[in-house]
Amino acid sequence: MRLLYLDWPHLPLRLALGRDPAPEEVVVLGGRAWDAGHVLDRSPAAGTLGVRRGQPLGTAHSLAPEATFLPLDVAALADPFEAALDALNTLAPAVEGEVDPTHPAFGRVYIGIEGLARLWGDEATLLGRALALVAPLLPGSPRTGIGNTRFGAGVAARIGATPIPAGGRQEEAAFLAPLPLALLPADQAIQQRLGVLGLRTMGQLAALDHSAVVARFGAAGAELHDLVRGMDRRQLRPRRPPERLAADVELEPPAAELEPLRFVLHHVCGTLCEQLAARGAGASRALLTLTLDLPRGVSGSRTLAYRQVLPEPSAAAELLERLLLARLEAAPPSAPIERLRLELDGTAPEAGQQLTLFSRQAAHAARLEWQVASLAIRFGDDRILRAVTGDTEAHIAERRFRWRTAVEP
Amino acid sequence: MERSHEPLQHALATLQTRWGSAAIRLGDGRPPGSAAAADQGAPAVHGALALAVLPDSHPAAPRPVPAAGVISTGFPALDAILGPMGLPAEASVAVRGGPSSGKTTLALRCAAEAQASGDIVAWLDLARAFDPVEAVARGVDLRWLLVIRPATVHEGLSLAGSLLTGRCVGLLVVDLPARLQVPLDQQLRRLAAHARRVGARLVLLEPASLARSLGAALTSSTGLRLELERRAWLRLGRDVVGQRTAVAVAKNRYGPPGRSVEVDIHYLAEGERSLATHRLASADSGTVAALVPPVMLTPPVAPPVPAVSEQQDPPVPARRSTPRLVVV
Amino acid sequence: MTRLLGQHPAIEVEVDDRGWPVGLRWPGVREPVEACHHWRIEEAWWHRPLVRDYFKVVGPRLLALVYRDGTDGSWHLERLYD
Repeated sequence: MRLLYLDWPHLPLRLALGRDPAPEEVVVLGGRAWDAGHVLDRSPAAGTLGVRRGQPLGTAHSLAPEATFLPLDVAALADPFEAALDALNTLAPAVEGEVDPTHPAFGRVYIGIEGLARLWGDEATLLGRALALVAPLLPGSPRTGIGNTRFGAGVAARIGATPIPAGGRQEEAAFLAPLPLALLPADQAIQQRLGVLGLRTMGQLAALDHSAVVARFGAAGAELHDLVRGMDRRQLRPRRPPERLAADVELEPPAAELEPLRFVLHHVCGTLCEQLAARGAGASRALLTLTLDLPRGVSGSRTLAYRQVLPEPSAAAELLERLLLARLEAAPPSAPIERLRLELDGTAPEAGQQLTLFSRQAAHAARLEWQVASLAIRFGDDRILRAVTGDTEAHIAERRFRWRTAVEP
Repeated sequence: MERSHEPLQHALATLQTRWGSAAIRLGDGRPPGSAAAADQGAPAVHGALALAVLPDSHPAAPRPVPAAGVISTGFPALDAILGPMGLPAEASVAVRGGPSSGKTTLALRCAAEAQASGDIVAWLDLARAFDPVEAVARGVDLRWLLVIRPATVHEGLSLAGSLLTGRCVGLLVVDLPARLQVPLDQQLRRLAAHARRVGARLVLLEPASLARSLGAALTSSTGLRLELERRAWLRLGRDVVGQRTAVAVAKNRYGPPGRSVEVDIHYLAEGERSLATHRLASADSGTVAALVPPVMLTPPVAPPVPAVSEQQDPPVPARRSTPRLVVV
Repeated sequence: MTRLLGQHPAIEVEVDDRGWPVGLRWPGVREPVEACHHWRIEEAWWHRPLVRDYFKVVGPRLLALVYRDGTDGSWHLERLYD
C-alpha cells in the first residue's frame, strides 16, 4: 500500500475565517459565547489559554473572555472539504476523508497512489497536482506525507519528512526507528510507562520482543508495537462519492420569461424525482444553475446558481419545483436563459411522513416546514422564528430563551 | 385519641350549618367526615397551606364544554357569555384594551386552547413584546408556535396572509403596536377576510392608543369585538399579583352582544417563570409538558430597607455560579 | 401575562429620596407610580458585571417592571403586565 496523506490542521477554523488565524488571534469556533453548544475548534492562541475542543462554550468564554466567538455553519464547512475530496477523486479513485466537520478526522485525507505513476508521473508530480487541485478550494496549505502505512504517512506529514522509501515494513520501520515515542498515538499513562522503562525512540520499542510488550501493555501495547514495526494493519477506506442526479436542458430559443422556465423546471423536477423515488431515496439539496444568454459586449457572470436546502430528504417533485420557483421569483434572472441545469445531491433515504411526535399538529408538521421554507425565500430567513430554551437558571429574562429561525432543522 | 377530635368535629359542624356543607374541605379536597379519610390514611398535604384558598379565577363558574369546532377563550366565565361557549372555527376577534388591560393574557390562553385542540398557532409580533417563557407558563407549546417578527408592519401582514394560505396554521394572533405610522385598515380587512376563507381563527390585539378609525375598520371586518378594561388590582400585601378585568362584548356575530363579565388574571411570580423555563427544557427533551401551570402563591414582600447601594459582593468568577438575588 | 420589551427602552424616572421610582415619564406624558415590589440582581457575569435594581411599579394606567442599571444609573422599562 502506498499512501499520500494530506492534513489541514484546524481546518474548521481556517474555513470559518477563510484563512489561517494569525498567531496572536484568540478565536473560538462553535457558536456564540452564550449558546449551549461546544467548542469545535480554536486558534493556537486560544489553546494556550486552555480552550479545548469539546469544551462547553461557556467554559471557553470564562477561560478566554476576549476571544472572538464564531458561529458554526456545518454546511459551510462541509461543502468546501467535500468539493476538495471530489477534486482529489479526479486524481485517484481511492480517496478517504471525513466530511462531517464535527468528526475528529475532518481535514485529513488519505489517497491511495499505488500504480498511479504511469498516469500522472512520479510521486512528487502527483503531490504537486493534488496540491494544485485543492489550493483554490481550501484555505492554507496542508501538511503532506507519503508512506507505506497510514501511520507512517501521518508521521512523515507531522515532522515534514521526505517520502518514506517505497517498499514494505522494513523501510517503514527503518524510517520510524530514530523518531521519538511521543509521535505514537498512545495515551499519557502508556507514554509515561514507556519512559520509565527507558525507551525513547520507536526503534527501541520495535526491538523488544512482541510477547514482552503484550505482557506489559496488553492489547494497546500490541497495536503500538505493530505500528513501530511498520505493520499498521488499518486499510484505506475509500469514500463513495455521493450520488448526484443531474439534468441539463438547452432552451431554444432562450427563455426570456419565467413561464417557459416554469414549464421546463416542472418537467426536470418530475424526471429527477421519479428516479429518486424509484430507489427509495430523497434529495436533501438542490442546485439550479442557469446559463444566461448575454448580448455581445455585455460583461458579467454568465451563470446564475440557486441553492436550496430541503427541509427533509424528499422526492416530492411538486414541492421541489415550488421552492425553486420561489427562489427564481425572489431573484429573477436579468437576461434570457439558454441553458438550465438541475442537480440533486445528498441522496439520503426519503424521510416520508414520519409522525414522531404524538400530537395532532404533527400531521401538518411536514407541510408547515415546506411552507416556512418557501416563505423564508420570499421574506428572509430571520422573519419566522421559533423559541428554544436558553439558560434555564438565568435571572435575566432574555437569557432564558433564544430565537432561532424556523427554517433551521 | 377519639376524644381529642370532639371539639374540632363540633366546630366543623357549626361552620357547616352556617356556611353550607361544601364550605370546608380537607387538604386533599374531600369534605370532612367522608369515608375515604379513614381508609386512605393521612392526606398528603398538611399545615396552613392545605386549607388556604388558592387563587382561582373563577371558583363559582363550572367549566363549560364547548361544542365541536369551538375553542375556549381560557376564561370559562367569558366563554359562558359568548354564545357558542368559546370561539367558533373561523372566528375573527378584535380585542381592544389599554396597557395592563389583560389582552395579551387573553390571547395567550386562546393560543394554548387552540393548540390543545390540535392547531398550530402563529403569532405576528408587530409590537415586539412576545415572551416565550411566559407563553409556556400559560400553557403554550412552543413546538407548535411560529413567531413572525417582520421588518415592517406591511411585510408582517402579507407574510401572515401567505402563511394562512397553506392551511397549516389554525390560529393567527396579530399583536398590533401601540402606534402605527401608516393606515392599515384595508390590509387588516383583507387579512380577516382571507382568514375566514381558509378557515383559520384570527385574534387581533388592538391597543387603545390606536386611532378609532382603525377600530371601526376592525369592528366591521371581525365577527367578535371584546373591549377590556381593568377594574382593580389584586394585591398580596403591598405587591400587585393580578388584576380584575371587565370584558365587554361590543359586537358578536356568533351570539348575543352587549354582555359583559369580570375575570381575574393572576400574574406569574419569578419562581413560576423559572418553573416554566424548566418545563420548556423538559418539553425539548421529549417528556410530556403539562398544559396548565400549577398555581403558586406569591411570597409577601419584606418591609423595605433602603440600603441597596451599600451591598458589596465579591466578583463571581465562573459562569455557572448562582447569581445573587437580594430582596429588600 | 407580561409583555417583554425587546431592547428594554430607556425611560425617564422620577425618584424619591430613597431612590425608589415615583413617576415614569415619556415625551408629553407623566405616569405617577408606586413601587410595590423591589429586588436586586447582581452577577459578575463573564467579567462583565451586571447590577440591576428591579422595581415593580403600579400606576393608574399600568403595571410595569422597570430597573435601574447599577453600572451607569440609567432606567429601563423591561416588562408591561397585560
